[in-house]
Amino acid sequence: MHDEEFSKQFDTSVWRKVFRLLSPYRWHYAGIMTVIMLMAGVEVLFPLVVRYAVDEGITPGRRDVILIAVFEYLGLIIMQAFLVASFISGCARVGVRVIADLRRMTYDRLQSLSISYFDKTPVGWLMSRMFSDSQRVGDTLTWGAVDFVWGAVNMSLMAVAMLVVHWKLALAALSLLPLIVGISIFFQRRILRGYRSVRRINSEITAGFNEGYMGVRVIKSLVRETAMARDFETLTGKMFEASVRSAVLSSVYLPIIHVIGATGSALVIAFGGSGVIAGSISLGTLVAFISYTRRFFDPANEIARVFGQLQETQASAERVFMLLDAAPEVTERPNASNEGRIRGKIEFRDVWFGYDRKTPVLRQFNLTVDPGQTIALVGPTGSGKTTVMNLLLRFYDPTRGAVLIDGEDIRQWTFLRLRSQMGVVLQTPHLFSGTVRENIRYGKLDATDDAIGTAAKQVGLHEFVEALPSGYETVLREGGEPLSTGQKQLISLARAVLADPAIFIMDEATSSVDTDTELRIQKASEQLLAGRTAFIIAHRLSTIRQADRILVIEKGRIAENGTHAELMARRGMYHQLYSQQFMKS
Amino acid sequence: MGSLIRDFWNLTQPCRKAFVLAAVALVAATAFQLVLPWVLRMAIDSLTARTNDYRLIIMLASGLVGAAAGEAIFTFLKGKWAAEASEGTVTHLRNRMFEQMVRMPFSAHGTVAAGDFIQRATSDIQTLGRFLSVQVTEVARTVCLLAGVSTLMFMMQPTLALAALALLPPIFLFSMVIFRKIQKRFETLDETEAALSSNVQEYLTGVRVVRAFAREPYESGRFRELNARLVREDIALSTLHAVFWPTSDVMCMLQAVIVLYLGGMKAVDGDISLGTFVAFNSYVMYLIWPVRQIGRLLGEMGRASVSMRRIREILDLPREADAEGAPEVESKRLKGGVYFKHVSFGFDGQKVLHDIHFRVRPGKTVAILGATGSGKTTLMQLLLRFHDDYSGAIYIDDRDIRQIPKDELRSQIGIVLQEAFLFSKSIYDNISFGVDQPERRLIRNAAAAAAVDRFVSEFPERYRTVVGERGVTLSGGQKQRIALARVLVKRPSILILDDTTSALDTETEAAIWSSLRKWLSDCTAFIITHRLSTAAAANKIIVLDKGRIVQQGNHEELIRQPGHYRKLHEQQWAKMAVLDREASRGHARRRVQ
Repeated sequence: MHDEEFSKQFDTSVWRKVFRLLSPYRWHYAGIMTVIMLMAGVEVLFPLVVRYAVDEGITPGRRDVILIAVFEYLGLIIMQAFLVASFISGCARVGVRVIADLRRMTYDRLQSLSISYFDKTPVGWLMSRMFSDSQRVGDTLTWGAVDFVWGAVNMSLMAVAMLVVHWKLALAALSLLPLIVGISIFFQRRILRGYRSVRRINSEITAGFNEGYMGVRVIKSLVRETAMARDFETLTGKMFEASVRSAVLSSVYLPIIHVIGATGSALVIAFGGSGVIAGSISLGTLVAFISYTRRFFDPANEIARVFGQLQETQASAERVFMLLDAAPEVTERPNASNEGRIRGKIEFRDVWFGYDRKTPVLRQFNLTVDPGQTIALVGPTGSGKTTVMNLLLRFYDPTRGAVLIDGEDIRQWTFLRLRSQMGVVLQTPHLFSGTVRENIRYGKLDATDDAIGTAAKQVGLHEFVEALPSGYETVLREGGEPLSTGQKQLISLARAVLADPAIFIMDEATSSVDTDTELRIQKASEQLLAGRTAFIIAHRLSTIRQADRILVIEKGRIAENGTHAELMARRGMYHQLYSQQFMKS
Repeated sequence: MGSLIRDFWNLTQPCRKAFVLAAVALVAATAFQLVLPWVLRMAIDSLTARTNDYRLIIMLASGLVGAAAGEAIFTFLKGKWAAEASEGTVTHLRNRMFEQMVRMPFSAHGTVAAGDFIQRATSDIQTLGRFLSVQVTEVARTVCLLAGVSTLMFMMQPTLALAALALLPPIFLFSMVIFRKIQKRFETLDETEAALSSNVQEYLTGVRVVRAFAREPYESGRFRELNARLVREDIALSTLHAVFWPTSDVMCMLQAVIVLYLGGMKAVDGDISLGTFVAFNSYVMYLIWPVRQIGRLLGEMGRASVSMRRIREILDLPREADAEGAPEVESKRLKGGVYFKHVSFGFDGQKVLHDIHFRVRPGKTVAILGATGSGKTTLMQLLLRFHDDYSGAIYIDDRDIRQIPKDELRSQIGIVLQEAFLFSKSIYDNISFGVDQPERRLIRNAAAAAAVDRFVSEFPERYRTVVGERGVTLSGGQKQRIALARVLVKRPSILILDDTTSALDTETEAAIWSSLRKWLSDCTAFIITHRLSTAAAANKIIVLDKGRIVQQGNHEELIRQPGHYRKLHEQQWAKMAVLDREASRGHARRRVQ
């Protein structure tokens, strides 16, 4: 799961997939490549114009030739400007679109993946795939490829130009080329590795700040300020060393390249100088060659840089494709039915299920619920209560057996048909950033403000919302800040009420609500649950006494089944739990 | 502006020596750089003079390499020292920011949202780091170059020098103006990207809700809209780049052509030598690109000053301070008697607590009841001195707590919060977080008392299991249990449990309460709870309503007087009695049948 995992081998199948991303833009891409090759070519012509100016203009003293040379030079500049403009806008367009395509593809894939995938994969990991990895793949595919092509073409054309003009002198100058390329690759690899470690430590620092901020109450109440600051200083110390090391690497690399460039010029002067004296080499040629030796560095550097990035890009691409290739475990059948109101008869028929193969959570679980009944599930943590809900919502499918609603296997329904008629309140309330009203409206997107108000009143939320400074328009930050857990639970309850579902599912929906509010909810619940089938999970047994039936679940089976009165009379597990909560003191 | 410069100047304080060294190396490197074209000039002139002096040529060629080597050495030193200076400054700033974060009063955390703070501590500091390591050095280098090159040019040929510098001001201005624009568009783009990523983040953290309400199409619509907007803004930004780079290229090259042409003419006329002509061309090339670059950097500088201001705002917040003249008392274990004497408190102009007055003897257990928002949690925060600006006074063992150093006070009060926060460390490290030298046995005992051992045995790595983002995800109840153990390890004199067992199942909760009894025997305990059974067991019950104590006393007393407590109690028992009657009737019926 780490960001910096690499496969060392160059994997052509990955790259084939990467290049397939370009297929909608292939003509555009071909155009960009043509432009970039022309750019690399024009670049090579500049020293030749200078040579012409020196040899034909300055040495013989002809002003008209100099003027021609100047116009040639200007022409090249303007041509180059147009090429650069079209290359930048072309490359940006394709790059941005490829990245957006990748983001969209990963998003669509996430939409289709089952809850089991999200249970196993941290959010941060998915975010990195979607943002930084997509970005890296797109950038390499456009800017990286372009830089590489430019560097390669530019370097070859320079070599050709020099060889044509004066092959002996060219060989002397070109002898340095492999050295430049080699050194560039050597350093770029290390510089990149340095960046990676800086980036890694940097994310540790961000995590450190984040954790320190979130846990500040704990830190203060346990008096750990000094210890935390000391730990953090070790981390920033590591960051200092890594950053300086990486900067020092760059400041060795560039000067070395300069010295080699200057050595090239020196070689040209030393070899060419005697030629000029002997008259076998023109002065213009010498000037052009000096200029060429200075121009070696850029393309070599670009090639080395892209080369160094390839490995990282391949790893990014592998991770993105891993996500794109992930198969959903729970799928809609192609001919799934999309029509039909739920009446509310629910049946679990010989259901077996486990989150992994070895440990079954439900074992031959059987349950029939008539429409309109309220069922309460009770039992210790890990007994399988939430699993029952997960199966009913088709977050997971049973390994054996079937879940039926109104006599039909829910696997024959679309997700929309199934879930749009269920009102779900989960254990940890999840609110979206936005207003209180928007959060309630999530239950029914076309609900009127009045309907939202009514739902809020039904769950005892209205009064407290009215007391907020901006009422229903109060803006909540991510995660529902600044509300308390109890208040968040009420909002998600109102959301489910608004959805007007045929089946109500409440998993510890009011665990953090105060006694007063809870009593009010209980009073309202007769009305809320009228005509609906309801499943309620609660640790606070006071919440569930009114249920038509209470199921005590233990180790994936129904241990006891009956009304509150019946179960109390049986003096079994339920009775024991109940006494623990109410009778002692 | 003046204060901004002063801020930056103060910032560099811890690394001034490195900054000075870097500046010296920079000047030396520039000087060597300027020698190169000069040597080239001499070489070409001697070649055109056809003196046939091979020795001179070889000497010049090696001079060329020597100058390059000198430049290389000093560039390296400059790079090293500049990195040490800027990275040192940034490191120092990060540490200060962290100190500030943990040392500023708790109330300050309410004024800066988490995301905003993290942004300032990370990307704003990074912006400053880049400013110091790139912008400052580049501007300094360009100024040095500009001074050196123009001096040399004027020495060689004044009119040509003027012509060679003519286009530099417009190049500089053009890039500064365009990059201001680019910067603005970049910020919009940044915001859109942040919006997109928080959209995805919310989708992922709330995926169960999205699925449960079948809202995939709605979410997908919002995503597509933002994704498309990001593309549009990105392309708009690249259009500016597509205008800037070629246009400025033409301007820069035009400057080069001017030198080429005028210089060429002068060379033909014999006003200047061929070597001077070549040297002029090199020098112009030295200048045009850096000048364009500093235009860009100055255009982007706005960002650094914004970041500086945002960091300043945090560092200027006051730190938590102990009352002046707090007497240095030898740290001894508190007995735990608590006395709230007519305490009233409010923030943001809202009164939260009114005239709170009660006394608790050492070793007793107090239950606090009250609806959400009635002030229960705030009351306990006062005891920990998270806020000091209340009226009235609070005493522990007859000492005003404002006279007890915070560290000493807090190290003896253990609080377990409703939403337990764990660090992404191992379970063992989390439990021992509050003590310097953790005693294994104590930790085992605390873990057992808080029923941590019940679930830890399910993990293959047991207490070494890492929790949080990079480890195992725990349920709310499991986190609460670890947080409880963490506090027990401290063996506090006063223990505060803020609705600590709300997420636990009945059985575990019962187990915890029975094992807690032993631990509670020698400490004063405050228990915030919704459950009447828990409250009934306490020595004293305090009922809060809208920030006032409406009732206090023990269970027997409160049940006898009319009021809030009795009402709650009756509601629960009345319903239970009915149900129990039904139950016994059902029982009887079955027996008859």
